[in-house]
Order: sequence, then structure tokens, then C-alpha cells
Amino acid sequence: MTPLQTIRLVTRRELVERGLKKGYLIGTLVTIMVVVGLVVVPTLLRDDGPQTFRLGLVGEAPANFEQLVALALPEDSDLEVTVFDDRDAAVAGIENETVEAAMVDRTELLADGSPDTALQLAVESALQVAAVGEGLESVGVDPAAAADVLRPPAPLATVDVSGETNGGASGAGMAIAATILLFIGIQGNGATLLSAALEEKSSRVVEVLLSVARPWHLLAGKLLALSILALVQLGLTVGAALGANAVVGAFDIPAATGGVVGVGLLMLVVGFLFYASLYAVAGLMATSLEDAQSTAGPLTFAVMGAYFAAIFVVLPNPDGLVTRILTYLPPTAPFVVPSRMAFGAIPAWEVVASTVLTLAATVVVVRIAGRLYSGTLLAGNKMTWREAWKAEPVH
Amino acid sequence: MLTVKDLHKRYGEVTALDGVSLTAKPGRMLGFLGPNGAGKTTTMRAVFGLVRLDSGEVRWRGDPVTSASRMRFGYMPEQRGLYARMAVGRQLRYLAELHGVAADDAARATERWLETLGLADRIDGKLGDLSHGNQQRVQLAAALVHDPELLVLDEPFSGLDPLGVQSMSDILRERAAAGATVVFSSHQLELVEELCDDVVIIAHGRDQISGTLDEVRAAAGYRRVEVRLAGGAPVTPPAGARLLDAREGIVRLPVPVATSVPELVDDLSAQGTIEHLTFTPPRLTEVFRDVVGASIADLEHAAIAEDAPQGVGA
Repeated sequence: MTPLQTIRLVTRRELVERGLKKGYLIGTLVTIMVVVGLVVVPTLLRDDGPQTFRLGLVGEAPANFEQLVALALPEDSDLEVTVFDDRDAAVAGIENETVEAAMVDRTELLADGSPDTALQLAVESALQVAAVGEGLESVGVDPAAAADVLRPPAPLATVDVSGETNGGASGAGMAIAATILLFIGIQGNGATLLSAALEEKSSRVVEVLLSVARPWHLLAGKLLALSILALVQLGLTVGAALGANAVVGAFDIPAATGGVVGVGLLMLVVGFLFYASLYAVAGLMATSLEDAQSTAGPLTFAVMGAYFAAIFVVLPNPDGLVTRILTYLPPTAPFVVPSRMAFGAIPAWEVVASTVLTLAATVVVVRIAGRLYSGTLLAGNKMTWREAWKAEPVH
Repeated sequence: MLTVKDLHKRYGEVTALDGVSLTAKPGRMLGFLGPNGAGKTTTMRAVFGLVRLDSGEVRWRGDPVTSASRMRFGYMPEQRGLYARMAVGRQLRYLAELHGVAADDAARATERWLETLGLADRIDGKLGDLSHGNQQRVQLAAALVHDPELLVLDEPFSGLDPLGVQSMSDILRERAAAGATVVFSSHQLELVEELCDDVVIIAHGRDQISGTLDEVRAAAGYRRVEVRLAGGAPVTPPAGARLLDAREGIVRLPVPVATSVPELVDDLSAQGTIEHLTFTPPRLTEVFRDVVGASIADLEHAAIAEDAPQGVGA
């Protein structure tokens, strides 16, 4: 038996025993359904008909005011005007939601909180047009002719110029997505990794296995299988979300280059392996799942720290010094690199260097984890990280 | 042939092994005896490379044991355990394949052993759903499923009911008859006496006595005499002997090994008519007590009283 044959057997066992378990299948199915639901349901609830603005009026309003406001509102919207006797009645109308805003004597626009921007702009431009019209009328221009030439301008279409240059908002979207996926992947599988690593020890099957397999064979096979299962689940979920979106068109997928997607995937795998091996060791140092939660404490903090560093340090400042440092630290690199790449704020050589560094660190961690694993396998008690390192490895 | 030679192992201040040696031969069963903490489990683990030895070596057929030779070993560790939530059949096939058995052969061997152990109908059941006794049977199957040439079992009889003991004994006998080398540790010395061809007794991390069962028993410095005089008349022990116990008129006396049997008969005839007389080597239990300095029962009492310290394996 070569090590690869042994690892293949271990991996196959984990894949079959975990992948075909009801828990995994149902969990995957439920996750997919929830995510698809999150994509599809809002589009079903979205009001597809024209938006109706309900405006209240108190006191004198300019001639044709209603018409002018309607012209200034976005194209596919309707306007409903309710006339109130006085300001108090208008306030009551807003409170009982008969109207959403009310203009009082051409001077006030009442609303519950801030008025809708589109409505406010429409009212203001209607008043201006009306004022100009009245001014023209007072100097003798025919009101009908004046009304003809005075039309409120159509609302401006907004265009995000940075969106055209592969960065900015769409880049941030990709970056956040990559970071969140990695975070969810690690956190969501942490408990599984802990209990899986604990399985051989808690069931005491380990002594039989170690009579023919080396600790790192078991560890490598386990990590491989769990990573495949976790990434397949993640991939199916993302695929289902994208598929559902392609059908209902709930949101625009930011255009991303193949490079961003590729590096994002690579970092997802590398980052997952990096943290998964540490989780496995944390599980091994415990004798029960309760213990495991506490030995895994530092790790949970590390993942959270790396995640928040990516969100709060890297995204606002994708080219800063701290960001550049975090790019080369293996625990943070998998979170940071896709973000920087999505912003186009990282030279290619840095991507390569950081990827290589993270891969190398992952190999080292797997080796160290293998040693810790063998040191803790036959131990009957809970160990600290320090004790695990000093423990005598088997083989 | 398994040769364990002069194993030494210290865990900090504790000396676990202090020069253990033993030899187990093909087609024979070796009983590995010793009180708790004597080093039995550590020695067995050393055979499987689970202990980093300070010195000494383990050889199989004359060559140092490698991971390749371990593929042909079967092990039932002191700490029992398999995957509780895994189906019995898949579990045994997995273990067989880990020992280098091809997938088809692994499936066949799994079916055969489950059939032999009366568990054929549980092949797809989870191990955890079986009774304790049946789980023990699966554990034995796990040690046997790859048809090992060397079988090492740490306390295989502990926790078994008399029927379980019987079927375990039958299987071990059958394996030895088929040419396998069988080594097992046990505290049930009557069982060892019944099953084993060879015996090693270790204490304080070192083998104290070893050889065939007869050799070990004969090595004792005394012989066991049982005598009954007509009418259950009292017996005065001859010179050098002492009275061990007397029940229903049968008096048991250990006498020095050099005692001349005719002289003994003369001495006893003088006290009354001999109705029954045996002159035999001592039982293994007695040899054990002499070698270890206490009986198993005493040692177990002591262990319970000390609240059985944890840590280094027995």
C-alpha cells in the first residue's frame, strides 16, 4: 500500500459516510432552497405595476399644478392628489397614510420622515415652472403659450462612470461575495470538521487504523473529503443562486474577469484547507465535542478577525499599507487577495506571490497538523495547543 | 515467528518497559500474562509501531517489522472501538482494504466472517445498533478480516459472557491450527491454561518467565500434592511442605520440587490409608502468584484501592 492508496481509501470512506448521510443531503438541499428562495421571492413580491405617488394639497396651488408634478415624476408612475382643508387635516392624512406627503400653501412639504426624493423633486420643479409661468403671465404672455413652452425637465438618468472600468461598485460586489463565501464555508463547516476529527479518537477506532495507516494519511484523507464536500455544497448553492437569478433577473451580476473568479476560487480552496487543517487539530486535542468548542476558540477568533479585516480594512482601502501586509499573511491572504483583485488594485506579481505563499503555508500547516494529530491521537485527555506540540508523535 | 527483543521505554519518570523479550511461533498460541501496569499493552502497541521505543526491536520472520509486514498483522487493541455509525459490512471491508486486501476479496472475507460469527443478517446494520456482545464479535472480525498471519489481541476475553468466551476460544484455536501466530493477553489464567501452548509472564516491564505451558509450570520450585486419607483423617505435612488447605478430607500441600515421591508416599502411609494422591506441577495461577509476588485477585484489589492511576498503558 502506498500512502496515496491509503489516503484514497480514507477519502472514499469519508465521502461515502458523510456525503450520503441524510444530514448532508438535506442540509445541502435546504441551503439551496433557502438561497434560491432569497433570490426568487423578492422578485415575486416586487410591485411590477406603476408606482403611485399620493400627494396632499392644502391651500392654494398653482394652476395645472397636478399636471406639472405628474410630468416631473418618473415615467411609469401615477399621481393621486387629495385636497385637505387645513394643515392639521393634512397631517392626519399623512398619519393614516391616505397620502405620503402634503404641500401646504406652496411653502411646506409635510411627510412622515423625509419625503420621497422623486416626489419632492417633482413638487419643487412643478412649483418653479409654475412660478416662472405666473411671472410670464404677469408681464402679458398668454398663459396657454407659456404652459406650452414651460415643461419640467425629465428626471436625470444616473450613470456610474466607474462601472465602466471594471472596478468600483461591481468590483466591491465580487470582492465581498468572495470574502463572504470563504467565511461561510469555514464557519459553516467548522463544527463538522471538529466532530469529524474527533470521530476516530472518540470511537477509539484510531488504534486499529494506526496499526496500518500513518496519522497524516488519515488527516490528509479527511481534509480532502471534507473540503470536497464543503466546496461542492458551496458550489451547488452559488450555482443554484446564479441559475435562479438567470431565470428571474433579481439582480445584475457584476461583470468580473476570469482572473478574479479564478483567483477567488483558488483562494477559496486554499483558505478552506488552511483553516480546515487547524480545525481538525483543534478537534483532536479534545475528548468530546464540548471540549472541542473550547480548543477551537482561538481559531474561531482568527477566522472572524481575518474576515473583518478584509471587510473593514481592505475594502475601504484596497491599496493601503495594512492591506499590502495582510496580503502576505496566510490567515488573511485568502480573504484579502480576491478583494484587492476585484478592485484591480493588486499587481499580478503580488497575486502570484501571495498565492504561492498561502499554498506553502497550507502545506506547512498540514505537516504541522499531521504532527499535532499524531501527538494527540492516543492521548486520553484534553490537551492544550502547547501540549499537543510537545506530545510524542506515534510513528 | 514474532520476536520481541529487549524493549525499553520510559515515559518521563515512569519506566513502562524495562527489557521485555518474547517469542511467538506460527501455529501456536502465546499467553501474555502480567499484572496491570506490567507493560503488556505497551509491548503490544510497540509491535504495531504505536510506541516510540527507547531501545529494543521487534522482528517478524527474522526481519525488522515494517509497515508492509504490519499489513499482515491483526490487532485487537485494549481500547475497543470501531465506527459506531458506520454499517458493519462497509466497516469491515474498509479495514480489510486498508490492510491491502483487494475490494472483491474484502467483500468476500467480510461476508464469510460475519457468517461465521452469526452476524450475516447485520451486514447493513449500524455497529452502534448491535448488542455489546455482538459489537465485540465485530471487533474480532475487524482483527481477522484480512486473514492475518500474526494476531495480537489485548484482553480479548474481557467483557465476554461464557458463550462469547467459548466462540472466541474456538476461533483463536482454529486460527492457530490454520498456521497463524496468535498472541493474547488475559487475566483469566484458567483460560490461558486451557488454550495456550506457550506462556510469558511479565512484571515491572520485564519478562520474568517464559516457555511452553508445561515448562513454565514445571519451573516452579514446588509440586502440588493432593491427598486424602481414609475417613478424611488429618494430615501432618511432611518436612519442607506446608498445609495449603483442606476440604472434604482432601488436603493440598505444596512440597519442594526435590521431594522424593516414594518417601512422600511412605510418610503419608504412616498417617493412614491413602485413598487419593496426586503429585503435579502447580497451576498457572500459582506460578503467576510466585512470579509476580501476588495473586491476580490481590493485585486487582490493590488497583481498585489505589483508584487505578491513569496514563501509561498496562
